[in-house]
Amino acid sequence: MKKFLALALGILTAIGGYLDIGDLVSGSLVGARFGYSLVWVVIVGTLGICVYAEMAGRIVAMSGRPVFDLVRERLGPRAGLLNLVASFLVTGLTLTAEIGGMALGVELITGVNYLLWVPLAALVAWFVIWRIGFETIERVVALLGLALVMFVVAWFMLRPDWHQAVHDTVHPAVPQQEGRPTWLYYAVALIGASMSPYEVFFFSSGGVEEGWTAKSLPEMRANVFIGFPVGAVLFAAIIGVTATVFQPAGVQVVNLAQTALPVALAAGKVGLGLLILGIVAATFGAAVETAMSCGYMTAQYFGWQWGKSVRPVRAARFHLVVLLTMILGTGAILTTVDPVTVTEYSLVFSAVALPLTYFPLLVVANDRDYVGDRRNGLLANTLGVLFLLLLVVVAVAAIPLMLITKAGL
Amino acid sequence: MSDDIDAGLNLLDRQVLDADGVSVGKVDDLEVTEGDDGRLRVTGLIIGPWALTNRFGGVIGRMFTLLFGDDDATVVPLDLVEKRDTAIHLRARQDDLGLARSEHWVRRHLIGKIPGVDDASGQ
Repeated sequence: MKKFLALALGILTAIGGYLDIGDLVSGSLVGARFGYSLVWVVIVGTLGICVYAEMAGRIVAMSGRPVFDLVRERLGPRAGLLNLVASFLVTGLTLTAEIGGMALGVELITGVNYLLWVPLAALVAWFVIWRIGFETIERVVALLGLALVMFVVAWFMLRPDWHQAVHDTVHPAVPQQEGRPTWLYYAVALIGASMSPYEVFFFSSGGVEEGWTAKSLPEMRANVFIGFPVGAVLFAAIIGVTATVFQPAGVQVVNLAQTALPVALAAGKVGLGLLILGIVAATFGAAVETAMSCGYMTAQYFGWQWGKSVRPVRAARFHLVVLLTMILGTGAILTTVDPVTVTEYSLVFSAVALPLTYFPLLVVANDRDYVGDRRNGLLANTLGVLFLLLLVVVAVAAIPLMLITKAGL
Repeated sequence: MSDDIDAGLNLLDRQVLDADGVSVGKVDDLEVTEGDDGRLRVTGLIIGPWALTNRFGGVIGRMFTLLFGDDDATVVPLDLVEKRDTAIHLRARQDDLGLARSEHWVRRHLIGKIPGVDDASGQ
């Protein structure tokens, strides 16, 4: 029974921690403009993150080595450094967007401008990293993030045309009033949202923090193969509610308040309140995860002591990087740059950076020295190679698409 | 693992842990010594960002030197290696080897000044 509870808690954590500002923004933008025609990208992206997170988790359980150790070991110091710089910038940009999202969430509750909440939100996030234990942070934030299930509740209450939803998902077509490049540009953004690089950094480093061994494999796999797909249902529900409410009216989503509007329409004040709680918790959790990921990747590249399993004094350089990243992200969002725009850019650059991280994972998941007899099977390798090829195409196409469409206009 | 070691694949850029299991750095370069018989042997692990500088060269190398100074690298003799799996485990402690100097600098001058730095509650 206790084992079952622990397993359920792990899966709930994976679900509640799944969504972040990237999903909230891209899901509602896409739902309002393209209806259900890009839901297939979320399905593909979720399969991809499952395949690669499982590899990362298996490598940690069998060898204790987190992802950025492998990046440097397999790519060497030069390409590894290039990857570090790229991943750091993308994750820092994501952190900037999460801090903005957190503050916007508090603005929705209080009516006080988000910029005033930015320093406080960042300070609380940093303080939690400095003082609170790893599992406590992960669990509490993720369980609060489960309030985002309101998107699913609202989706059902809005009585959408399910037949059309399924049809448009299975037979994707560019909506008439939109151009194909714009449609593809948002497909890239959805890939970046469902497969952010920081997710595998955080997932694998978290596995080291929690001391995973071969015995942890079933639990890790349950979290990945149940938790992530259910999390993706929440993502699809964001597309669903905005497709139902906004697309027929031709309304475009330009801010986070609009993301919450369909839920207010369907589920009233209580539903809205729960949803905003979920938004604040999800962005808060992701701010913590992205800031820590910047520390993880830097420390793992240089071989420094890192993580929350030691007192801060024992991982001073790790905590210095986390603190500096948090300060930079806060400063960036305080320049009054639009958080929604920052989010969109962070998603596209995430998609560009993905192959750099996934390639070493795929190589090492086949290396007996690391994973012993738990090497990739035929299925993991086939899917792994297909996704890597897909991600290379996406990475190459992302910037040209951004330029052609003037970032999705 | 087999008895043959590919120094490039199995030593270079691997994580190094000291006798307490503390991460002390990566194998940033290898010390190679020419023996009396004229053969080259790997005799030590060079740990510290300055060793990386030499592998980078150019602008990046100079940036590293600026950031970490030109003396932050330590040669650890090969006989101090206790065992080797996916990481390199040393039989000595980092302080006895003079490793992780930048960690101590950051601890002393920056992070150590923040309240709660030595509390276990963050674990």
